[in-house]
Amino acid sequence: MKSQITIKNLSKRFGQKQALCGVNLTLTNGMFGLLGRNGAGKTTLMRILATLLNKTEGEITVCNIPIEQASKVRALIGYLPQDFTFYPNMTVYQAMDYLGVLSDVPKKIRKERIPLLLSQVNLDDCQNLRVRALSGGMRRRLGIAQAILHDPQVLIVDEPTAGLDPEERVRFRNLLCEIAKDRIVLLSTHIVEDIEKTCKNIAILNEGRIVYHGTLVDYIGEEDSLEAAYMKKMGGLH
Amino acid sequence: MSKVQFQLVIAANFLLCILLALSAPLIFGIANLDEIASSYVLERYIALSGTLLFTPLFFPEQNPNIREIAESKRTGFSYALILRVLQSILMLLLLTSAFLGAMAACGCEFHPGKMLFGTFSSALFLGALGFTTCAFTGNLVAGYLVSAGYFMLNFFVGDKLGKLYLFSLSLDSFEEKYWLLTASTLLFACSFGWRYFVLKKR
Amino acid sequence: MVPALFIKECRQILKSILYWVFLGVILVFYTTQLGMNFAGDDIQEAKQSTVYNFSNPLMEPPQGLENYGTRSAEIPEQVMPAATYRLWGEYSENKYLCYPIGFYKNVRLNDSQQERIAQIIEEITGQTPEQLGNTVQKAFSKFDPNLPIFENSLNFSDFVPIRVSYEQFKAYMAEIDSTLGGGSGYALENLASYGHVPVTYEEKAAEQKEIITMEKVTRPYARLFCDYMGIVCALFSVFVPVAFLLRDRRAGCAQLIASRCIPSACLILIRYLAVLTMLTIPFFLLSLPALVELAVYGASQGWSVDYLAFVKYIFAWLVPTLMFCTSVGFFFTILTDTPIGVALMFLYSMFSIFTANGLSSGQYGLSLAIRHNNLWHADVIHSNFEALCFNRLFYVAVSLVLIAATVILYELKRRGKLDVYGKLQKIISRVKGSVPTRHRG
Repeated sequence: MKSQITIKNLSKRFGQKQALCGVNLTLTNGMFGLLGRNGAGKTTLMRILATLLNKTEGEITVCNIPIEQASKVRALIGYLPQDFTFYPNMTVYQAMDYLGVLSDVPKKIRKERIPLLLSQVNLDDCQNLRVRALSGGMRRRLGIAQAILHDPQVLIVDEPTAGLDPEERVRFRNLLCEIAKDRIVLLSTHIVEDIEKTCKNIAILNEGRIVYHGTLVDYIGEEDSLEAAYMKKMGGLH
Repeated sequence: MSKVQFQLVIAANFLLCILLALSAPLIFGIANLDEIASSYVLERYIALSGTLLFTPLFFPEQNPNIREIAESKRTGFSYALILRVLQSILMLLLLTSAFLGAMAACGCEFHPGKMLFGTFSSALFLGALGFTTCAFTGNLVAGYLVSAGYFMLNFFVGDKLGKLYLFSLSLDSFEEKYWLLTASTLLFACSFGWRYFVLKKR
Repeated sequence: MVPALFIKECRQILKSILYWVFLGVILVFYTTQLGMNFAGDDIQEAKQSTVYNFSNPLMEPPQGLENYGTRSAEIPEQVMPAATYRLWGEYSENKYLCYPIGFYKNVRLNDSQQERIAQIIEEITGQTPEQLGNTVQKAFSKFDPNLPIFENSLNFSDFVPIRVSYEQFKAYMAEIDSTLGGGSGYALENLASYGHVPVTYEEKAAEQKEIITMEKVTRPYARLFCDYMGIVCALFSVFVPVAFLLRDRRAGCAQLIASRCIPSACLILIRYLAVLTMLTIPFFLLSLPALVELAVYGASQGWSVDYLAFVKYIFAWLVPTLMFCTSVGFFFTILTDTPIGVALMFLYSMFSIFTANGLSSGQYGLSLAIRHNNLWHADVIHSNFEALCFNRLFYVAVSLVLIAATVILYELKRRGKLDVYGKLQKIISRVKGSVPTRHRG
């Protein structure tokens, strides 16, 4: 099934501060990169899509469901926040099981999927390890596993590789690409390399506005790399 | 450093203690009380300041990330804790003295030193109970529960609690205050000792 | 989803340190207030003791004893002299002991108020306070301090003369109580405490028979159990839900849970039920020893025993209190993300307990913890049953309203429309920011 997220004229204001202004985006299956500096509005956009924040203006539909129908939308999305953590005393399996219950995944399916997913993210040896005993990379992998436990159409990952070592980062990117084969994966990051290696389509946010929305190839254009193109074009904005 | 510690932890709790003290005249009436009646107000109400001041001294570092950062600095975290305890003791003495002054101004008759020491001991013990529970369990609410639990136990069990009875001044007995003070010191020492032990094991 | 989540939440509560501390607190209060063997002691005494204990409902009263206990009674001939004697004593020192909101308060009157009290004393007794003082002194010169008071056979009516009718006397008492701000020993509802009548054999036998036949042995003990445990419920149960809900913020996973598709009502209600269940279970377990002992003894005596007495009383008596405390904890914790609910509930409970009207008066009002601090006087419960039901249903109703409000709050928070914690942080940091700190250059 082809999933789609449509965002029309989205704005979000926090008091006097305009966090997002007139954002228009269409996301379809595959990896979609959202790039921008710190404070550009990436996390705000992610949280609105994850129904954790209310928009001020605009329209959003997720797989043809308006964002206002929060509980229906939540069933379709998996969310990995920037600082993923969980109850430290739970084991990895217990954490997955608990989140699976909250996502209304039937017991039988949980019993089948949890070991599969943990294996997919290379945590199958850690099922009985407590969350507090996990390293940063292991925690992120647990985060991904819990985000797709209920087989969502959309996966929203916010800065998933920040703080990971290079090897973990590569592993993570590969995992995301694998997951993105039949769903929308919206990857928000300020690490340019992550986008370059995984996304065909990207959007660039600057001070709450979309300054580019299109393919990665078109954005890079004549430059050597995404980073070079980004530095040239974003530098010109300041 | 002291100013930062005060702002970080103690100021808000001290404000709560001031509110507690200000509400006392409305509930009890603090005019023209004799020594026994005065001790009633002090031990059964003002002493709760100990719970409010000392129990949350660990609160900012409940988040393990913050705790790690605090513990990794050259100035040990234990130093900050000791500073907080000392500041809380000072605040408790100030509050109790001010309240006693207000009571004296309202015509209450009592021996000020005895009342100050007596109230301070009871409050410090309640605070030490909360502080120690927090230190051992890492749970702020558990600290409040143990402190509040012991406070209420004194109402229902009375002087059967022996040397650690909080309301002994209202029975015109002072010996218990020395025990309370000693027990408080031991509890604080245990808390710091436990922290040292845990850090060493890590 | 519902049963699975309910069980998981119950397990989470069971694993928390705070829950075990709470259990410890229950146990301490149970041990110190009721004793580990509160029914067993009565049973042992009934089985083995040859001396009749009139406070033990399992002992059949023998005939021909001098003392079957006493009960308070508003007997004007006793009340008027005793209350007047107390009034004279407090007038002489200008120290009137009052409990307006359950706490000790020493009231001192001004000159004109004292004059009026003196007038009242004179109108009641026909003597000025000074004259009455002389009368009292003469009476007490016959007092032997080495004997207990009741053996001195000193009756107030012997030396405190009364010259007014009881109606007039009550009017004076009401006036004095009003002058003192209420809660004094002269309040009309407290006058019965000055009068005592001895309980007769017939009365005692009838009451004991009622406990065995109508009350089916276990109900009085269930009431006494709930009387003491009600205090624990009211004061301490709020700590558990507050700690339980704060762990989401503490673990940093509040947003993760909020992004799940589980409806807010479902999540809040399941958590509420889980907390309520885990709070109620310990009381059921604690009641078992007494129930078993009473059931075995009752069966051995051929009595009909109500095996469900403790269950019924715990549900009707304790659960509304637990519901209210839990819902207050939920409401304020979800609203503020702070443990302020603990402070508010604890203070409310404290005042509710200490302002309760007597320990078995039947005047339940809106008291959070229902008091009936003895094994007798079931008639008080029966005759005030409506008030009792109203009280319990009131707290159930308020709990349900608070939980409904909590669901709404949580949904608003989940959608980012409510952030009281953030606003509090801003206010606190503004206040802190106004206190200058020195920055090293």
